[in-house]
Amino acid sequence: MSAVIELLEKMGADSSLNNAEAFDAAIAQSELSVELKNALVNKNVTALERQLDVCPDTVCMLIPAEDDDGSEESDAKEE
Amino acid sequence: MSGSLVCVGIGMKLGAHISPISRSHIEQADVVFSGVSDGIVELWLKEMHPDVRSLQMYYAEGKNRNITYNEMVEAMLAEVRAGKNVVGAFYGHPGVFALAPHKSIQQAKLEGFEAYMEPGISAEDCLVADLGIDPGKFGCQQYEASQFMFYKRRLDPSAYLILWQIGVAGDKTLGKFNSDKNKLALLVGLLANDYPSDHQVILYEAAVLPIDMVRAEHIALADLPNAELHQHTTLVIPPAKPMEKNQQLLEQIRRLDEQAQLAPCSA
Repeated sequence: MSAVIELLEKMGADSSLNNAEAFDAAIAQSELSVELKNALVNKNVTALERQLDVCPDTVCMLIPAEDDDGSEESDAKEE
Repeated sequence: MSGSLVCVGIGMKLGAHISPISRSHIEQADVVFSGVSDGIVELWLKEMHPDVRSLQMYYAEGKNRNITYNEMVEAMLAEVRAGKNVVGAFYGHPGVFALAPHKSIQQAKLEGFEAYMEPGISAEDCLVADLGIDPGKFGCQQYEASQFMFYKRRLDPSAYLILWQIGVAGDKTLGKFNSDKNKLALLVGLLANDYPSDHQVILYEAAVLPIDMVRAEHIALADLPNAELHQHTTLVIPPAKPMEKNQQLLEQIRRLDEQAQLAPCSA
């Protein structure tokens, strides 16, 4: 697992990293590049995305207002 | 028949919410399709499995999202039909405000394949925790924002109202990724039937990365059209009036209770 993803996963999963001091210490003790460490310490998501070469424009919409097969209406009639 | 489909939820926050069973499904799949809200989260999934295929490629500005969702379903089913154990890994809960997971499971079952869903921690779950709202206290209505505008609903302003995908409210084309001030103004006009214009509403965004801050911005309802809205912004409208007692029904209940007390005890 890449070091930065591993650290992010640990930050999400380890309650002891919920306080700022432990959070900063975990970043400092990691073997990440200075740029990645700065992005994490400053909670700079844009810089992190740039460092990881990740597209910042992720579409997250998963539901339409109206389904094209009209299932809302048929579901309602079935009830 | 070989081939199966499991749609799993990975929760909202990277590392924090994924369940052991969802992780196990991802790790043991033949192929994983990812429908997540963040490119870094997608990198995380790719660390769990060597063949993670992003569903992002099916989105395009100006393209009706119903086409996109059908393409997602077909992409997953093509691998199921080829005899593979397929996992669709979706952010949050795969069954809450998400069309493709439901549709793909339904279709896979129709074709005789094993298919089911594993729940995840949803955006609504995070909203409840982050805003300190209990949907059971006053009740809670929730709708996809555009659907709320397109159809006549019976709104109860004594309950919470949550409108999802507020950032694209009123988009009939299903092809927009950004908000439209004029349509938001129409929505404010619709809500003005039940809420004062200075009613305080909340713009909510859950944390996705452990370094993210939760957004819980309070604004006046009238200021909604000029607010900064994203695809993942949710509008939360707290109750604007107290719950009104249903005296008629309460009286009927009181009479039933009286009759029960007067009736002789059965042996």
